[in-house]
Amino acid sequence: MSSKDDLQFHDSGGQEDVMFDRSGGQLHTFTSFPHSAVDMDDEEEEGGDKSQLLKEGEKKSLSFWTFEYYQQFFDVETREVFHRIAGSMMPIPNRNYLQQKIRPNPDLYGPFWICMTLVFTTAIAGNLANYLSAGGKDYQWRYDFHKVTFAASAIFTYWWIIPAIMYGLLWWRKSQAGFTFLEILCVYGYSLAIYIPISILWVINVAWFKWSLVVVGACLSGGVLVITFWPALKDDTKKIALVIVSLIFVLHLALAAGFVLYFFHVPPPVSPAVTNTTNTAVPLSSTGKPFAVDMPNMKPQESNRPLAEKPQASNLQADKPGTKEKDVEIKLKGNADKPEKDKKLEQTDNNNARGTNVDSRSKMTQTEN
Amino acid sequence: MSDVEFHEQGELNDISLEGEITVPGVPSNKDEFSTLDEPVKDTIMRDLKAVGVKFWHVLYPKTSTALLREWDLWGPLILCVFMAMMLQGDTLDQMHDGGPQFAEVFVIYWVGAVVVTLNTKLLGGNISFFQSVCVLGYCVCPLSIALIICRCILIAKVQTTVLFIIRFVAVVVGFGWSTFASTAFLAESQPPNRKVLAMYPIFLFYFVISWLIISHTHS
Repeated sequence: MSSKDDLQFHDSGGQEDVMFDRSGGQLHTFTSFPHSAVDMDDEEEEGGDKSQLLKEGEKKSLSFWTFEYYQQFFDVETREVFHRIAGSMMPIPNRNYLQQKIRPNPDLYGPFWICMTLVFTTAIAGNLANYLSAGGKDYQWRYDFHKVTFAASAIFTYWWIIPAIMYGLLWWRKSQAGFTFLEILCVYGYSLAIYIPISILWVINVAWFKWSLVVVGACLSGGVLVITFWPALKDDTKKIALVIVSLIFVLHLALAAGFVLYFFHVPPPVSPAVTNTTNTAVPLSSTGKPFAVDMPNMKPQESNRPLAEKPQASNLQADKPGTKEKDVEIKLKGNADKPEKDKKLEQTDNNNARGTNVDSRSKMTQTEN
Repeated sequence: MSDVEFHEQGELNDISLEGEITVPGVPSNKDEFSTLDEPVKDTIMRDLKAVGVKFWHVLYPKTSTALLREWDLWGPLILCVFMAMMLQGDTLDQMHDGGPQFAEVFVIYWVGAVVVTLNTKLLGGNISFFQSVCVLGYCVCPLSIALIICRCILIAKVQTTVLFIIRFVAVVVGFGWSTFASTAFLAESQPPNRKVLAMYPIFLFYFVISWLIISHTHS
């Protein structure tokens, strides 16, 4: 230790350096710590519970440029994160989510990873919904990676801009509740947690189900948001308070609706050229899977119906030789009634295969009948 | 500080001040000759061998410290370039392929590894930045093998459901293997009440890469 005094060494910055004085060169003495210098309203304030840690010098106002400044936002445990996620989905009128769960230790771990997870589940589920609506066979479908970038922009914008607006609004109305920006960020981040399972359920392509999920999700987490912000607004004039509260709720609902409309939008059926062949296809598709109900006319979708219902298809193939001299779509429809593995060959060899396969099909129907 | 030698005043006149600033913990090779003069083949082979040893450790994960002690980023770079080349969407087609571009896969890989590492460090893990990036990068190796398998399966002209199931199983096995391998290396660096918090981003990272692999169906 005496050599330390002589040489005035001090360890250079790093993780293990938390206990040493940062002002360079002096020995750290645990004298009176200027507790009053730490602003209660300040972002990095961790609250009175940790007063013992404060005395040990760990909680000075850390510089923005040190690593430890950011570490304080990640000071949570597994258990706490789970409790916070659960609390964000259950609006209980008497219990303020912020007071109970978030204070005194708002964190950024939960919100950040919830947003990242939501970005990827939305993009993946959106691609999956698209894939299933294209008939389940990927010979014409390509996945869209760029849904990820769009989802990321939308979600992170929502997570940062809306709390900024809220903080500004509360500051403008001189709200006495003392919400810090970090706490608002934290609450908003956790409120997105409910959309993660919902985004997976949105793959099921039933319109009323999707919209009811939107409403349920928005009500639950929007409810928690409203209950959280109400104490900050109730001192205000009734009109302004109601406007702000409804704004919170409407924006939350709009986010969910935006997801459904952008990522999970199933395009309406097009191509009227196949109408005369869809007459035979409709009875097949109406007995198909439930989430395919909205699209009886989608051409590629019909192609996998007969895989499950081949005996019925072969009965209808008696009609096919009569229509074989029509155009290409009918050939494709004719392909649909055949076994899967022949379909690809047929698409490449147009004329020859059509001729031979129609013959083989008519032979097949004769033998089966 | 243990490597600074203090000499008495008399000694200083006789011997020149010398010493080695060595990093504690790494065995210093006193008789290691300068590598400037060795043939290039030796240099390359030494590095390749180091990379190969690490791949071996990943494929048969035991809690060894070889990956952590001598980290390098060659292996992750090789894997990243390989995967980005295989996974990039085809823009030569008429229909614009919605797959990721080379740069996008590259960015996901490296930015993903950096973000997961930052997360581990912010949660208080005692592992260095590059060690963590190295481990995360090397543990993508099983997923690369799954990608090779998928690509081989995709050579077949006709894609049936059975082939898809085989691809899916290969990717799931690769994903599980990667996650398990990285857990074996990285789990001890976290305090027990935050282990899940540290492991979840790693899980998400490999999940996203697995999704990129399974979604890749070239024409």
